[in-house]
Amino acid sequence: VPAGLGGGGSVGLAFETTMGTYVAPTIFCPVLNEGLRYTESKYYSEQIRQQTIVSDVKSSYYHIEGDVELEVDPRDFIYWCYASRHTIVKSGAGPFVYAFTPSSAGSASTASGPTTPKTLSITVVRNELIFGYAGCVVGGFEFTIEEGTLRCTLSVLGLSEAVQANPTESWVASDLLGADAHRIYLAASAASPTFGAVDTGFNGFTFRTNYNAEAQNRIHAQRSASYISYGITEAEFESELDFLSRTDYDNMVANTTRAIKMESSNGGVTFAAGSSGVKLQGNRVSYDEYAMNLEGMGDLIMAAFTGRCVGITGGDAYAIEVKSPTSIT
Amino acid sequence: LAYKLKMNDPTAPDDTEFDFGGLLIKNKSTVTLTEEDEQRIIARHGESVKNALGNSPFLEITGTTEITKKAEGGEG
Repeated sequence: VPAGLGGGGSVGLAFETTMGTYVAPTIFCPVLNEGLRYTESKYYSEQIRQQTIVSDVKSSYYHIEGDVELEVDPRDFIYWCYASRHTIVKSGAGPFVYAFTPSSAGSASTASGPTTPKTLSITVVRNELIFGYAGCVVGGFEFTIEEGTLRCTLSVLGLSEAVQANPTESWVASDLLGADAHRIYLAASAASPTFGAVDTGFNGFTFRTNYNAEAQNRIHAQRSASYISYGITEAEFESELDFLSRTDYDNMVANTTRAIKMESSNGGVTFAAGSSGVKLQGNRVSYDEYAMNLEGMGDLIMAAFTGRCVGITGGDAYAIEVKSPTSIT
Repeated sequence: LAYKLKMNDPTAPDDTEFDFGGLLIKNKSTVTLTEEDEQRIIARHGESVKNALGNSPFLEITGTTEITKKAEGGEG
């Protein structure tokens, strides 16, 4: 095989029927980069036998781990969302709206139907050499706006890897969410917050969730992971904005929680009216930090904050909603 | 009979156009491969149309002859 470039590669996805049993790709997902790795801590024997170097090596348990960074495209992004720890509601008749809210599942699982979490088989073609990763889940998302475009970095964990058949790639036109797609809102904390006008002062926006997923290896004469466990859910917003008012600084001091929403949509001026998009919403967000300083004579005075999502009675701490033409059945 | 390719992806809207390395096929529709199409697919992907496109789960390939192979056979 001659030398190849990353641009010649591909990443394909398929939902699994049985977690960990590989399925050939049904959709190909454009990514910016991927770092899926076979991760193993080999066993090196430190027998004492009149030498000071390890004397043997045995294979140990392994799992798959790595980040995937991509531009959020509602057409395929829902696949990643299904493969994480969420309660799922699908509505609409095309485009469909998928709402992903926190669940308390202790481990990853897969099942058929539009409202159950699933696991992914991820096929990566690197220089025409094929890697089939099975039993994959997303252990965390980090959404951010980079040069005006919504991106996401996914923390992926998987059970196993094996060589697979070369897939037949097909691609459809992208539907990215650019600078004219985003709107950010603040409101009083509530199970269903009432958001008013768009807040126009934000300079950057990051929303991250972490389900503290871990690959679990159990003793049953195989080296691949047995399952993926989930720990506590952490979700937080991070941003900076022009410092024009003490209101949210005072909210931090007074421990007054807030609701934050970012809508990114194409084909309409709101998420509800658009033809595709993403909505990231925290219903009860506690300001962990709210800093605004005189950084320098020529620097704008900005407020930098992180806000942690907290549970709320009668609602969800946060929701990721995706409006997509793709139908998961 | 030239190859016919039918795309049928139940997850995608009917007007979705799939790009198989330069060969565009609209969902729920059928295209008949020309000799040029076939040569381009083979040059890009492999030994035969079925080899190149046969691993797409939603692409149904029908037809009994491969134009390129037939042409090579004729030369031999």
